[in-house]
Amino acid sequence: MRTSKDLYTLFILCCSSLCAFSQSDTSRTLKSVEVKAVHLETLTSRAAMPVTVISRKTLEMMGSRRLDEVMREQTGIAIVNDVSAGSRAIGMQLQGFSADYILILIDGQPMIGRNAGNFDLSRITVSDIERIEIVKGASSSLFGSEALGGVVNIITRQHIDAAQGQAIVRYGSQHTQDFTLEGETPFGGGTNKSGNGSLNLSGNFYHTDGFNVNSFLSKGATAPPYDSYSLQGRLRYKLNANNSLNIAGRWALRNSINESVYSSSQVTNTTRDVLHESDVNGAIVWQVNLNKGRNANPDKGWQANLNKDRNATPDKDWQANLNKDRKTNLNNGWNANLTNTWQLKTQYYLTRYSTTQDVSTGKSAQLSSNDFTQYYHRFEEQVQYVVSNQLSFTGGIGGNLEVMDGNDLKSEYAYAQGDWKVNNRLSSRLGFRYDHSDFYGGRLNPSAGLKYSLSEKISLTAAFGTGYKTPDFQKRYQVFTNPQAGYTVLGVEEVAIQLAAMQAAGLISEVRPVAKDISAALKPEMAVSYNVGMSYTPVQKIRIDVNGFYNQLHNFINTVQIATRTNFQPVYSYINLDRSFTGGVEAGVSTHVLKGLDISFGYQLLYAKDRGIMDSIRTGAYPYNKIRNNNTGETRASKVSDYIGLENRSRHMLNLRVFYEYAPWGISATFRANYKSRSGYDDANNNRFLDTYDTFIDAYCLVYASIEKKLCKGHLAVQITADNLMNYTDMLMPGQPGRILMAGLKWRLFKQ
Amino acid sequence: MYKRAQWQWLAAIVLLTMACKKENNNVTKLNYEDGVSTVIYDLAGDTEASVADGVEGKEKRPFRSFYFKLSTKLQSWDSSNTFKQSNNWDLAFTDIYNALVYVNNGSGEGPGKGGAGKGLIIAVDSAYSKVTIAPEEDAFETGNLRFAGWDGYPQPYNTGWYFYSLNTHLAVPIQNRTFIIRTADGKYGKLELINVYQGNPPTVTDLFWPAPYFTFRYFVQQDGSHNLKTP
Repeated sequence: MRTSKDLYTLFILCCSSLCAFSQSDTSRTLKSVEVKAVHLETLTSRAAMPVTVISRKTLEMMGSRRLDEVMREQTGIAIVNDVSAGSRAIGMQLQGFSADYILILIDGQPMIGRNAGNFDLSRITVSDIERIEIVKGASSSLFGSEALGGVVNIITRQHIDAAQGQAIVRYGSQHTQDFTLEGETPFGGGTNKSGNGSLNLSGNFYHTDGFNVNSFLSKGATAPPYDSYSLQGRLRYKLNANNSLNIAGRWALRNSINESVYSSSQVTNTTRDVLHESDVNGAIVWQVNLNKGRNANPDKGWQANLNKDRNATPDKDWQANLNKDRKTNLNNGWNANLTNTWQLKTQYYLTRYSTTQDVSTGKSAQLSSNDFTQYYHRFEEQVQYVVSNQLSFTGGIGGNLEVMDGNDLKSEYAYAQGDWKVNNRLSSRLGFRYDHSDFYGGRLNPSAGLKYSLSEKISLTAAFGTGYKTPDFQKRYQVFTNPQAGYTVLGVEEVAIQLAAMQAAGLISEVRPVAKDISAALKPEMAVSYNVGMSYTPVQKIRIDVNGFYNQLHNFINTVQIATRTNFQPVYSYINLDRSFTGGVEAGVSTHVLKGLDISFGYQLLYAKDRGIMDSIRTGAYPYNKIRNNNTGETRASKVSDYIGLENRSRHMLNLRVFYEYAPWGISATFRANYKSRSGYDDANNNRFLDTYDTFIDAYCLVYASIEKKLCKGHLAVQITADNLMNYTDMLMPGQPGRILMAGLKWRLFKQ
Repeated sequence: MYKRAQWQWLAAIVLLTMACKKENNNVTKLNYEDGVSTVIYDLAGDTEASVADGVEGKEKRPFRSFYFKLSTKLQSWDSSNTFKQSNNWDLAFTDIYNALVYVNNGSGEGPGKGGAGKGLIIAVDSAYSKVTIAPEEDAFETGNLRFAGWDGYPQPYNTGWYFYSLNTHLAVPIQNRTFIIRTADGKYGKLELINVYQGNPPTVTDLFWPAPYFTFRYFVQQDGSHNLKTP
């Protein structure tokens, strides 16, 4: 009931707002002039699938501190806890794909360090992010393994044309503290107005006491407290007219101690969870331009992105951007001839992630420990060739070396992409990537995108891509017995030896026939994504985007019971079993009705199901063949229609954003509301699939607001933010904090 | 025009904020007390045992069984054969997380084997208060489960009181399942095993939620009849 009421409210709001717009009579354009930075590794210039962009301006206006806070407000994205991997396992779900399948990039390079597949985005501070790009759908044609379900690219500060500095101090609920110091300057003089080089340095400290939503805890937090330190630096230097060098480094450290005390009756139990993690990223990029004409400044054009897309509408206009870019270039008079240009980019990237996590009880008994150090090296050579205004190519080859606790994994790759503007109406993009790993052999991933403009107002897009993910070290080599539940999990390469050893020790009471099917050659998981969209601009200030998506997942790796221990506990391993799919519709309406006022509305409809479960229900396989009404205790045969879908996925997600800026007074404010319909938490009637009698996380709506006033000619700004204003919490969402109020001061140093 | 649109939006935002107001999120704690049944809260099992291989600092050994006498509410850790074969207990909490619950029966397989216990146990898929009568002797003997543990495990016909979720790796008790029992002395009663986690949470949200702490309730008909009516 609650669901339909909220939906109805939003619907009314949407209608009333549209009425309001149609009455107004401005003729301002929706989009500001936009220039694309050709030389940067942006997803907009690579992905065939639609790209959502969140700009620095949006981040500043929202007043968010950590990356997870930004992401949880995006259409089609959910930040969910993975209860089975402990209280620190929290990850980002995108179009129904779980966190394991979403690749996180920093300036186009992969970030590592996951907890049972979950990448905790709160590791990353928002303070030095220039913009965030999100590609939904299989993107292995861009980035290889792991980009099976999508990619998030974090782009750090790039454009530096004047010396400036910034200090930010924020303080608020739960003793949350956020301090940022940032400085940047061009240097090296030269003919270029802004200098031949630029340097940016920033540091951030963040502390939170965490948040507790579990009323059974007398002390401790369900969203753990932590201290985080990060330093980031970037140096760009133009060696001469055609050569430039770019060096970037990032170091982040996080410490967290969470002591949870469970008190009831006369019993008190303490669990102490200690985490130390550190994260280093470094990259060197050498860029060579081989064109006859004058060279475009690679940095030029970033400013334009600041105005753009404060509402993070899907940015499907890769081709349009390119056109605009060229047009602007022509207008500006520089680099009028972009044809027949070559660019070479040589890069080396290194990242290291190290973590120690120990959970122990007050009796000093260790419950679990998760310690590892992981290195990832990448070397890549990229070529860009612009044949003409209609045709351009990008290609590259590279190699990765991943080292984790003594295990090496080498892989090589090559990719090529072509962009062809067939005519004024039709443009296309085609890409291939070939990945080869010593263990899993070769794999080719294609992607293709088409855009057709029906008219000035309507354009249609279609995209296709494939993705894959190789089984990780755990799935191959793990030998693990869960101290709480008591089951054992064996990596596929360990099954034969470990099972024989356990049998010899008399620990095994039964070996299941499926144990023979466990193959050391576990196949990589595969995805195929389809996306069809339409963009409609009925009047200049309103844009409507509708996208249909369908992602099919094959060779989904699932745990399977292969034996039973003499203590009744199961022994699991991994097998390629199920085929899942996620599909749905994403829609967005964005408007720019008044000067400074941006209103947008986003919606995602999602169906995410496991076809393996559907087949099991159809064939009546135990325990899928029954459904127990937990309210009455009655059990009946199950039907396929009883199956709701994968856990932790809301069928409906809605968001509304209002961003307002009144420049004469230096005031800006935002209001955001996010709604998610109910989602499954866990099975409650022992049939291993989600049905109406199981445990659900209720539908909910979170409200966010912020207001900022600039003073002293923009040198000083005061901001107040409220996250989860209505303080909505649910025990079933341990990682979702309640109301956080923050006050912040920003001091900017710059020349007028 | 602008002004009007602005006011509309302001009103809309206020409305939306109201619509999104906090729901009552307090965890409802059920009241199990009915005046005649006995409710046991957080009875500690063997909380120091571990089943894990290679976990440092934790004692790796099987869970020690404990025994419970319904009439006196006494918990015993005495695992001598003399004790096990006596009628000084009605329920044995055995094996992993002490969650495999046996009745004291001298004739079948189980901890009471060789003793004089007359224990029997059958499952009824109904709310505790709606179970009002124990079946006749024959039906009881045929339906005897001997123990109640992991539902459907090791065989689908092994009706239990909880199951392990493969999704969260946590034990989930099965709602509205009541066990009709016969005590070691031959009296009829009913038993509801409610939870294995400390504090009896409606849903467990932490992999390391302290366990095993048993919450259960029971009623034993002292007059020897089959009448199990409770309010």
